[in-house]
Amino acid sequence: MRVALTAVLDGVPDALARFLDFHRSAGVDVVVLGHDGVERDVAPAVASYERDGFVRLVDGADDTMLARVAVDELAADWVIPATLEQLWWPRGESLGDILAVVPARYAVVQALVRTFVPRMGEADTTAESRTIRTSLLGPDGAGGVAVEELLRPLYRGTPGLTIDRSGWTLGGRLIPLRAWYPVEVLHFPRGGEPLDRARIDAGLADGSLIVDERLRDAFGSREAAALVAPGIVDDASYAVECAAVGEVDLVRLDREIRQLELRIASLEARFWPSLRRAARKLVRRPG
Amino acid sequence: MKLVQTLVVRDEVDVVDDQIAYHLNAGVDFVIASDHESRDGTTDILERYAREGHLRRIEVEGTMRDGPWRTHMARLAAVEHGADWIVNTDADEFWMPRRGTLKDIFVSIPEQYGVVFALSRHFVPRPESPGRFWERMLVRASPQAAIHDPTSPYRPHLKAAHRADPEISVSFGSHTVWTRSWRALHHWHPADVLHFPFRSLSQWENKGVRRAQGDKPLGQYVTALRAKESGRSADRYGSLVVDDRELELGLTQGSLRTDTRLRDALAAIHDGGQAERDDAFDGAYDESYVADAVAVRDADIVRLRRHLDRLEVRVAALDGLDQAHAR
Repeated sequence: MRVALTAVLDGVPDALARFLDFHRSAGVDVVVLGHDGVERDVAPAVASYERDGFVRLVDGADDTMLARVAVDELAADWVIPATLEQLWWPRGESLGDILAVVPARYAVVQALVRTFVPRMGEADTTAESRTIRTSLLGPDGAGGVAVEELLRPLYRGTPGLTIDRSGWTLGGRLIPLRAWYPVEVLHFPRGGEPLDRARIDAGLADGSLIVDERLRDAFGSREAAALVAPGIVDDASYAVECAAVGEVDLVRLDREIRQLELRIASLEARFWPSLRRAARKLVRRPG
Repeated sequence: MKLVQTLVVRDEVDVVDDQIAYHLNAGVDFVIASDHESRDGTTDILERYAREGHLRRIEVEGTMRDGPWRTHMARLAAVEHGADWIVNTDADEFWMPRRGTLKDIFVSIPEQYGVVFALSRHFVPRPESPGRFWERMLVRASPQAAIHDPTSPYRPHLKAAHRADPEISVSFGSHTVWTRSWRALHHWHPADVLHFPFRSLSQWENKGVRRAQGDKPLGQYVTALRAKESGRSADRYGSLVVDDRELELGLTQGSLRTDTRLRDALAAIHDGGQAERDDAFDGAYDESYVADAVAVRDADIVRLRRHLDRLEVRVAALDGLDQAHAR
């Protein structure tokens, strides 16, 4: 089981080493970094990671190109298209562990985005200093946020893998694992709007914000981030959030069935005329 | 009314005696058991019940073929044992009627219906201690939303019971049956199946390794196999065990519930008496029944959605073929 993560550099971010170290401890085997013409600036920062084979620098910024390097050249079984503002946290001992048991029919696994918010007046801007994040346990659940914004996809590594940010399943050609998200994307957006004390207190009180110190604890440890499989109580709470995403419900199911019916009808409409033509040819054939 | 229980079992010596004793006490008249190469003393227990006239033991071997074995036993129950109703069980499952006895509920089902579904209630492993599993495993999972993790042992599901039919087919795990003779009664669950999937580290490890190599290697079993292969079984099993701290949190949040029904029933049987139901307790158990029943429905919707995704892939493939042909 080989897990690759891809990301695009737009300079040398301050926390690049932390980004790489975290994902190595979370079970990523190799990182493909697209440098898009800034190789000279980046090279010193990643030299040691390149030497030990953990990082491959590639000239380019196209998601599909980076993913194909991961699959075709680095033999990745799974590819995580990430950004440098994200840390992909497995709900298990490692990314490899949880992805190894995903049934073979699923080609796309989705991760639940956890957005960490800056506090007003906060001087420290590092990821681990942020310990307040959004939650779906509040009174509004997902609060009307689109499913596509709440989830991020990662892909089973297959030859010719194509990554389309607007159509994760490539028009239904890849099967996604729905309604359960075994990875959390800890998201630390640059320049997010800082929240003042009153808003944080209100959010914590109604459940729309939550204190999450996992990353601080992980980075605070001298050892690699200690990842453990969650217990049933944690999973039960997480299940409520997964339900709040609202990816699967009867209304959506009904809509999908109608769309599939239309596609089948379109196929049938093309199939019968071509069958009739073929039959006519057969009948006209002499002797 | 004759009630026959079918059972697929392999190396479940810590639970199988209590399982059979419980069901015979709860109204089952006869047991048909497929014994899959047991080596741990399970066979001796089955043979004892056979000698007493309560059980028919069938030896099965080779790769596990869960559905076909269950189907064979269900048909035998109809053809050779005069069954009216059949409950299909695993060794770690205990059918607990929600009112009265098992026979009471099957007798009450209208004639035109012949398939009903019991609601599985999953009990969580607790720290190991001397004594029987049912003395320490008194807590079950009760999430307020369905867990859709394909590798979780706590996913909501149903277990089927049915009237006799010589041509019936029973699914893997007996979650459903296919019959031309009987209509299914959906959305009404007259019994709970108290389910004790993991009871100790060694049992979890042995079951996981064995089932991961079986006919349907579920994620929960593959996880156990991978943990054993990498020497991490104790840690991985430890994450399943609910310790006192997690128990307190879960009880407070409502995601865990204390449920002593099996302990009370088996304690009475071990004391030499008849297990008696105290229906006054049913209200407490009903409290989480609605949430669990809704979770099963939600899980069914997700299963349908996942099935639809597979159909979409097939349609896309046909679409591609058709376009290639047109060119």
